[in-house]
Amino acid sequence: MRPLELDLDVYQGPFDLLLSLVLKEEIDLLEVPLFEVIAAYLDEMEDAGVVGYWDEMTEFLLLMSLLLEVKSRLLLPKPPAGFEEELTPEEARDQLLARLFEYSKFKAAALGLREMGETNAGCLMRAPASQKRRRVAPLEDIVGTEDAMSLREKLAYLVENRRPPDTSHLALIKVELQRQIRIVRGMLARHRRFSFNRVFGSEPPLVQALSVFALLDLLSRGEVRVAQRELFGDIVVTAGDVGKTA
Amino acid sequence: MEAGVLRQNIEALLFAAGEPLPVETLLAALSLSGPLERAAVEAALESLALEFPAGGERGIELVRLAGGWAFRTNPLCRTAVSALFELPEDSSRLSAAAMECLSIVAYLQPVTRPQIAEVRGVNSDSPMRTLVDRELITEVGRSQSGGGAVLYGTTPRFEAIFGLAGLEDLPPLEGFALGEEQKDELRRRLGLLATPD
Repeated sequence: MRPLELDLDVYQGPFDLLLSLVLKEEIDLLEVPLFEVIAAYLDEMEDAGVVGYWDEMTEFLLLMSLLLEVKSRLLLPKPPAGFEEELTPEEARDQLLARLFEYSKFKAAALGLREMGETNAGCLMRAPASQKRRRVAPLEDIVGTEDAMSLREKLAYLVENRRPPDTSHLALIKVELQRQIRIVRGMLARHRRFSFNRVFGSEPPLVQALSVFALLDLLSRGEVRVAQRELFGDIVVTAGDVGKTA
Repeated sequence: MEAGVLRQNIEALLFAAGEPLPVETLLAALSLSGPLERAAVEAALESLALEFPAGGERGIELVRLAGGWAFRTNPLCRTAVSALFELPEDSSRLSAAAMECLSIVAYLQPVTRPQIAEVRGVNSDSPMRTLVDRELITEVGRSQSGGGAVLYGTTPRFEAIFGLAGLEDLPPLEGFALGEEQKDELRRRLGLLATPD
């Protein structure tokens, strides 16, 4: 059996196979063991456990059946004149040939392109290290750009050169629970008793909230006692029995 | 701007760029406009190109690439350069199937996947994905006729990697056609050419 090595990653499709079978290996169609080619191809597919390559397989089978027909025409006597079909075998073969000729151009062009790429691959351009410092294109250069590629490039440039957002205009509120606990302890050390509203009433809501948490924390440790006469009213904070160390 | 100074500035811009710069970009950077200034910039580029010719004696060369001008290392210095630096990916890492798709897109663009499959006689989705991932091709629109299929075209990166000044730099496709002898041979082997009885 003719060994047929098909690597699916590099499988070039039926045209490539046909070109190499018929042109490179210099065999006449009459000598091509089509059955063996098909059997080998299917074996290969099965061995590889390949499913889902129906596009490749159907194209392959289509081409092989076309070749079978062409081959049988070569072996059999010509059909009687006047026998008409939708597409005569001759027309089918002409179409096949036309597609083969067309395909072969791109196959050769791909080789040419690869050579160009290899020649060019020996050159190095300076790494765009200073690219980040390149000024962003003025807005008027970007707006109204109808060329999709150009727009895409400019967007890519913006994405590549993005910086962390400037937050300098935002005031940073420095508040943490431990700090509020220290403040409450300090107040109690000096005054033994103070009004929450008087001390924290003018602070931002976040600071007030954390101060309440600080009170709750100290309350659970027994360091403070709190009293509130009415809902949302002022809280009077008194030193507890524990934690006189502060 | 005096010619010498202009040349000097252009040389500095091209050196700093690290990517092909179109003449328009150079003009904008130098605050120049108008046909006379453009001609002056082009003359300065030509003069620089004479000083840094492709494959010449200098270690760097000035080339037209991807619609612009760029300095790059002379390919003759490939060995030395590659000893210290990683050279840009070369096309030999692309499969033959991907190269075929790439050449079809390059010559027929804008082109749809079904059109590519028609030429290759095989479904080409996988190599096309590879080419899109490597930014050698990209979507350029939707087909008006083919049910809105995605149209593909090559990217400037493609031109840069394959050393093309522009798409017009591609060798003519007809130059790759099979010779008449090969065609006849193919016809004969497929039994299409009547063999003398």
